[in-house]
Amino acid sequence: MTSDMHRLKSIVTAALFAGALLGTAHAQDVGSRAEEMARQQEEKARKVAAYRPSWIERQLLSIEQAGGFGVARGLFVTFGDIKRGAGLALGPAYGKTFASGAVAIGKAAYSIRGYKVAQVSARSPLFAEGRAFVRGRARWQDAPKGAVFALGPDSPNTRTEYAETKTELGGEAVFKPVAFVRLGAGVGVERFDTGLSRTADPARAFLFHAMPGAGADPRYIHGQASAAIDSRDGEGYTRQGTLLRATLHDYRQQNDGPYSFQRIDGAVEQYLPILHGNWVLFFGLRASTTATAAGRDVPFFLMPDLGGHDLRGFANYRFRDRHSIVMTAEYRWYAQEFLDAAIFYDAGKAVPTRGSLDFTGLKSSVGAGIRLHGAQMTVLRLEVARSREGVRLLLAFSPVGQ
Amino acid sequence: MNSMRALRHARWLPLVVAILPLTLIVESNPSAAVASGGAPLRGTRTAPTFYDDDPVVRIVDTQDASNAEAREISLVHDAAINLFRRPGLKDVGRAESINTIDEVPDSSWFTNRAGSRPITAADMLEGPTDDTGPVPGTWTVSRKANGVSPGFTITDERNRRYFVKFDPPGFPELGTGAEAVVTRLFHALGYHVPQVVIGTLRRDNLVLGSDATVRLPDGSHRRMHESDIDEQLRRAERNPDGTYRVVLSAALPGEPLEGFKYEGTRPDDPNDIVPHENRRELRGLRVFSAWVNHTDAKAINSMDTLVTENGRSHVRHHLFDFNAALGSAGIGVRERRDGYEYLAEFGPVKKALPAFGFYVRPWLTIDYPRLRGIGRFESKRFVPELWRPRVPNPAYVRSRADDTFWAARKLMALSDELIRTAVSAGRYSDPGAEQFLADALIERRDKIGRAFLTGVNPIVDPSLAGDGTLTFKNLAVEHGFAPPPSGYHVTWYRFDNATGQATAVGESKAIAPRLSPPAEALARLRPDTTLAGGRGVYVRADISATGGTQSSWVAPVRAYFRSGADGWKLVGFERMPDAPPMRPGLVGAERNF
Repeated sequence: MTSDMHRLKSIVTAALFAGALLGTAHAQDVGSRAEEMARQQEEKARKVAAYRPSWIERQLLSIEQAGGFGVARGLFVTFGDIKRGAGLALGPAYGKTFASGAVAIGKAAYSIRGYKVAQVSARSPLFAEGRAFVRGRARWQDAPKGAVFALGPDSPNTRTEYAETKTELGGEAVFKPVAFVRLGAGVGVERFDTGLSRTADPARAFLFHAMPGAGADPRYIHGQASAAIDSRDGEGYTRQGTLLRATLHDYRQQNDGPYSFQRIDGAVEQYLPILHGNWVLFFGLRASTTATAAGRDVPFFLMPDLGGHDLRGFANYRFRDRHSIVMTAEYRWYAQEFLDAAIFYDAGKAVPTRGSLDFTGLKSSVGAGIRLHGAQMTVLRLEVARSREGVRLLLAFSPVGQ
Repeated sequence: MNSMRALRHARWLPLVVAILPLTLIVESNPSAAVASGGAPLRGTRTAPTFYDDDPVVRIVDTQDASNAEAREISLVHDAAINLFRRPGLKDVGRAESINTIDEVPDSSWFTNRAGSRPITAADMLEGPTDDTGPVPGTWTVSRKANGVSPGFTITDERNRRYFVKFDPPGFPELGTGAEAVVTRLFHALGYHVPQVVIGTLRRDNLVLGSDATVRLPDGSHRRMHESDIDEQLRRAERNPDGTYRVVLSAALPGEPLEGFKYEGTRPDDPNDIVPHENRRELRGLRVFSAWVNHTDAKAINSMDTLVTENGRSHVRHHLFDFNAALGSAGIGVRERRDGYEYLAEFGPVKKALPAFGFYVRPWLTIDYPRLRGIGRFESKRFVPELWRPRVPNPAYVRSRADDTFWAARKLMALSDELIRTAVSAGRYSDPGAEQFLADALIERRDKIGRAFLTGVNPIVDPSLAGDGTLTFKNLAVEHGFAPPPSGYHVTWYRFDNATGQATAVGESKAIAPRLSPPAEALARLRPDTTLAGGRGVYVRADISATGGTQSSWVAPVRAYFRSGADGWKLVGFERMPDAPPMRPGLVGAERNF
């Protein structure tokens, strides 16, 4: 027993001694800074691993490698682009950018107000030394709750809703002979089907039925030509420059009906930066006028209209008639690189005769808002506008007036 | 790499910047996972404070890194993460890539040049190598750059490869000049950069390589056509004689692995053991970037390459792409905000939004010279502490006063002559532009010196003579950035290298930066070689400057000396030994512009 105890004691002592030796060895096995660093590198070498980007980074990298978010490639989500008043809309899209630079995109979208769109579009590569391209699209659009107010500048604030389905196939060529000049011409076939909205109050159905072209369902060959002098520093977001633009539309009805007409849209915009853009003053004037042969008329849904996007204190399509004029003055200030704030004043009217197209009797609204933007694009506009008909909150993804 | 470079001025960045914060919060923190623990130059608990080979002057990559793989980094993800999530370690302490005397050793990241060895004007002009660019003759185009900035890769008749970049239309000499000048300056400061020269490109000299390709949006490639070259040239500034002024960047040696992030470590590089945000050479880059207004130091403007030397592969880390520095943004003149505000910064927005435009940023009122090739660059309104890159840099926001001091000291080692020589490499056709740029750089350098050499105890180069005389320099005073303090105070310690214990043995004071310990202390500080473990051969001296205009100088620096055959040798130095951990943020930027 004593012998066993002694043996055990010896073993424990030896183990402790060995442990102490090992501990000493561990403390002394790094005898220099170089060895200390080598040990740490060796330790890392035992756990090296390939870099694993997160899912978000992989997606972003994939988009960047393809040329950015502006390059159509594969499946993506599309927002908006149905018809004013649709509300927030989104849907799937598929795009392909070809080796030549040509782009084809197919998309469909559905809005919170039940508006729908399906579209296939294509754009050629640039040609003529990068100065020209052609594009075309086939599109079906269903707007079941379009606003209808009575025609004229003093129409009462009473509305009903109509349904409009538009089917079109068209193409356009765009040519920029010099930097500031843009010319365009296009032609397409368009078909409209309209009727009283299923959600409309029957008591106000007369508003719709009194409209020219209500239920007429015209089919058109729509030709257009445009010319613009455009020195703006960005179409989607502008801090300086001038825009002078005129577009001539010719709607030639193909089925029976008196709804062939011409329409001219003109726009003048001037952006004045002060102190390198700390302030920007914007003045805009847009006018639209229509013309018909004797005995013909303009269907209400293709008439010039105001409200919502341009006369912001009023509802979408609040004023509609054969001719319209609207002006905007805006004072904008720099809040941050991608954020501006603005106060604005809009005034305009829609009138039945060209002679009434003057600056008297304008309906006006004032407001303020902020804009999240990039160098050349408006990402988001959040605005509050007030008119005699109330206060409206606007959420838009496009520049003012578009 | 080209696709990455092409996206840096992407117009859709704000859209992504607006959306990404919502998604990024769900991501895990990769930097925490890859960050190496521990400071390589500091001892473990069982290790002595100083080893015999301290201070090391070179970090050797001991492990084979041949398994490191190229990894492309998303520009948008990198920007969004840095803008909104501020990655990296949260407690900021002393830099970890330094040796025991507070210096950055030579390594795969950095090579000490300015302030450490003589640099001649010829050295500065030459750059990293003696490559003077592609030889005249046929240049074979092999690859097109994608995106908004035109450019392509060429191979000359010696089969050497170069990346060709142009000036943006309407801005002759702007981007090319910036690239040539800043690359040389950064090389002189110690960074690994490519060799860059300015040259002339003639369309007639370009031929299409048989394997030249263009990358398509779906990731596939197609053959490059002559029209692709012409399309690139259309987007470049052309000389009146039809030629193009270009900057030619020599291909870096080794296999490209793409860029490094400014936080964490490369998980596939066994030698990369210091979190990048804790590398002094990257923290100090804040100062150098401020100097030349390099607002775009981000992952995709860096390049790691796998270099094989002596049969072992290791990763070498480079900075490159400086055409968006000085007054250039690469695609034009830089925006006025650059250098003064981050792309997204809440503080100024809070002031500006309700002010109806009457909160006018001071940088909006800066006048810039109208000089060919200069763009928006000046020195009069430059405030070094307030300078900001476009996107917060994890290393910059962890730069402490000792990091910026280190960088400012390096910078001050670049003489006026060397700066003027570097500027001459930009080959500006207007002598007035060259003069202006050099003068501005010199003035900005001095402002940096005044800002960062005075903000912390500026004592450098302590030396202990055999008779116990301690000498040192006050760098801020030497450069004339501050008046001399009324005196210096030293507390002397015996230092036990094995335990790290220091025992105070006396104090001494002097007006000049030269003093000795009191006699009784001197006796106790004499090396006692009879003590085991070298306990008798270390001395610590805590040196502070008193009665000066800078209150921060009272906080002592700590110098350690070891006795050896050649006398006392400086083996340790800490500029901020008692500094508590801080939170990330630009030190010194608290005051207003």
